[in-house]
Order: sequence, then C-alpha cells, then structure tokens
Amino acid sequence: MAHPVDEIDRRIIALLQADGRRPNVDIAAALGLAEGAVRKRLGRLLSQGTIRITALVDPAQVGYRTEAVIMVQVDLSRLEEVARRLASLPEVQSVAIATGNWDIILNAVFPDDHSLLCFLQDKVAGIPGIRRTETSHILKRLKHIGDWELPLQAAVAPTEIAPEMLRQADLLSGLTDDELAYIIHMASMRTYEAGARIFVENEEAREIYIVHQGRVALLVDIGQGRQAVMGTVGRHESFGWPALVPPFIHCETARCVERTTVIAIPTAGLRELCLANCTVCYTIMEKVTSVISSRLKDARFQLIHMLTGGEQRIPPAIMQINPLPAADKVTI
Amino acid sequence: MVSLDLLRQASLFEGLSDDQLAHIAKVAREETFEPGTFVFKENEEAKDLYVVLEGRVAILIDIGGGRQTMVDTVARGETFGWSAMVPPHILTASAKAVERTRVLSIAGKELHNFCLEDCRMCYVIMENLAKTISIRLKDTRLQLISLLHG
Repeated sequence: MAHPVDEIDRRIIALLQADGRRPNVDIAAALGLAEGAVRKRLGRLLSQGTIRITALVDPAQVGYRTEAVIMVQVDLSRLEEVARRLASLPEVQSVAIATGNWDIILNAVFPDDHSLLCFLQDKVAGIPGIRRTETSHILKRLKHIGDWELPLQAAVAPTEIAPEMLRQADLLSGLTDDELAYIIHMASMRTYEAGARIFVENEEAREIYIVHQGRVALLVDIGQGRQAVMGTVGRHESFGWPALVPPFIHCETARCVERTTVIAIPTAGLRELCLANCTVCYTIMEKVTSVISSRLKDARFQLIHMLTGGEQRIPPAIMQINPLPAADKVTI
Repeated sequence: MVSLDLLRQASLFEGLSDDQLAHIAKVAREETFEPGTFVFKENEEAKDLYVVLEGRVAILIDIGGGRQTMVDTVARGETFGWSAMVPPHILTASAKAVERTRVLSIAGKELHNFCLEDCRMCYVIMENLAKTISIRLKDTRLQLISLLHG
C-alpha cells in the first residue's frame, strides 16, 4: 500500500539521508517545526515502513576495493533457487530478478581482482542451474542508493488534516476546535488525478467530502453514454451529501476537473456526533439541506429555461461549465 | 395547539416520538386557504414551514414580466416552505392553493429551538427535510433529462 508523503516529510527524509543520527531537535530547528511534530512524523514514517534508518558500510574503507555487477542467465525452473543461493554469498551486496537477456543481476564487492576471479570460478560456477554469466567491473560510482532523494512530485499531496482546513469548509463553519478535532480523527485525506472519479452515480454513499485543493464536477447520466454537468465545487466546498440523506445513494458522479485533494468524512461517525451534539447536528444538517435546496433551485431555473426556449435568464453558476478531460463527453 | 394525529400525517415528522410531537403540537397551527390564494410569495422572508393536511398547493417561480411558472405541486402529508429552515431564510418560490387547502404551519424559529435542545429530534427532522428536497431535486432532474432527449 502506498503512503503519500508531504513536503515536510520529504525534507525530514532528506536531512536523515545526510545524517541518519541527526536528533529530532536539530531537524525541527532546521525546518522551523516543533520537536513533537518531527517526532510524530518520524514515528509514522518508520511504523508504516516508508523509511528505515540503518548503517551503510563503505566497502573501500574496509578493504573491498573491487566492485562488480554480475549478470546471470539461468534455467527458469531454478530461478528463485539460484537467486537465493547467490544472495547467501558473503561477497554479494544485492540480488535482483529481472526481465530481459539476463535473469538475475547482482552487485558484489571484493578485496581485489583475484578474489573476483575466485568468486566466479569457485562459487558461481558451482551453482546448478546457471547457464551463462557476464561481469562488468565498476570503475567509479557517482551515486549510491542512499543518495536517492524523494522526487518532489511524490511529495505534494498533504496527508494530515489541520483544523484550519475544516474550519473554512462551508459544511463545518462555526464548529468549535473540539468538535473539529473529533471530525479530524475520523476523516482522511485523499488526492485524485484529473479525470478520476471519486464516486459514481447510483453507488452507495458513505462519505461526505470537502474540497481542499482542486475542483470537482458533479455529473448526471442523461442516457446514450452522455453526462450533464450539474455544477462544480471548489476549495472549502462540500459534496456527496446523499451520504447523509436516505436512501444513501449517490445521485451524481463526482469527477475531478484537475488534480484534487479532498477530505473524506465517513457519515456513520458524523451521524453519531450529530446525535450527541445538537449544535453540530443543526449546523451540518442545515448546510446539507441548504446545498440540496440550492441545487433544486438551479435545476428548476434550468428546467424553466428549457421550457421557455431560453427566455428565462439562467444563473451564471449553471452556465459555467469547466473543461473536463477529453475522455469525458459532456453535454448540458 | 393541534392534535398529534395531524402531525403524524406529515412525512417531515416521521420517526419522532409522541413526546417530541407534543412539543411541536404546541407551536403548530392550522390554516385554510381558498383556491387561488397565495400561502406565501417568492422573495418574502421565510418564517413558517408548512405541511399539507388536505388539498393541493402549486409551487410557482417568477419568470419575469409579471409571469410565473409552476415547478411543482404539493399534496397531502408533504412539506413546503422549507426556506424557513434553510439560510438565508428567503422564500425561493411562491405557493398558491390550487383547491381549498388546509395546512399546518409551524414557526421555523420554534422548530430551530427544539432542534438545539433535542439532538435526535434535530437529526430526524433535518434528515426528513433533506430527503424531501432531494426527492424534488431528483424529479426535477428527471424532467430535465426527458427534455434533453426531447
């Protein structure tokens, strides 16, 4: 399972790649964060296996000055067995099974060329199933595995929901910090690429969404493979209200117009909160009712517009159709 | 004060206990409208929420030039005038009695106060209201789709 990292995670990882023993206090000072925030993020990165902190040996420093990449062709029926036997040899640093002309590619280090020759003749040649090998002597290494920096594009999606993200949301405006903290506890943040569907019309509705970044079009099937845009929602606006209204079935398809990050709130948890806290209940349900009412008003204007042959002025919100990826055939 | 039996006819109050209905009964009142008379007009302040007990009400929207178009009709047991519960509490349509119509009217402000005292009542009423509006939305969209296929 992929665990997205944000820009702060990426910077913490970069500092630790330079010095794996750097104290949290130092990292916090370098990034302008609280020590607790760094500790919490590091705990998450370590526990979910995103990073491991380990000791890297420099082979040259301990007398292993010869490095080789050895490519091996094997009987495919013995592929795993051969790979495991090679991996167990002390000279071998890494073993990978690969596609292409060579079935196994390994990295190994030796004190000198003579040791490399002995390794090939005495150890590799004796492994049953190996057909052929090719050895490349490494002359100079410019970048090591430990030098790999996490690409920036992998780090743009935020992963933690801050209270201010919810405070500005139309659905939750007016709630206290404690109430927001309760909602944050059950909510999750997800990023979708342009064109991705968040939910599809007629699916069961279990979550309500708030747009954090990006824009989402709400589409309705109009038959013959066509869809009509019923509206679009942007930053801080909510959608997916059928998750709070019986029969809990989506009446629209939500499709991202651009790369979009949403905060998803499971409505089972939200309902529990509503039944325990009247202010939250009224605030949320009033907003949901208001959103549906506003959609009804738009739909009625649109209906009148069509019935009167365009005589009635249509509110600008309905007229505005944001471009969708070419994959979508959109009509209105 | 109206009887609980009248309140039980309203889909808006479906799921409420007798105790909860008794609270609403104290602030609800019955009104009768003759055919052709307006219950309320578009753009007025929305104060009351209505439930049809008998008869039928047309929901009309101004289309300019002093003309109106009917977008819906409301029959027995159904709710209208929900702008009283939805900000900015301004009526988005007019309601006109099609025939002699008896309605229950409930002050939105009173209902709001009940909602802040009883979370379950709040949830049930608001969920029923959202359901009512969403059914109207679905119907309107179906009409739109059938026109698009024209």
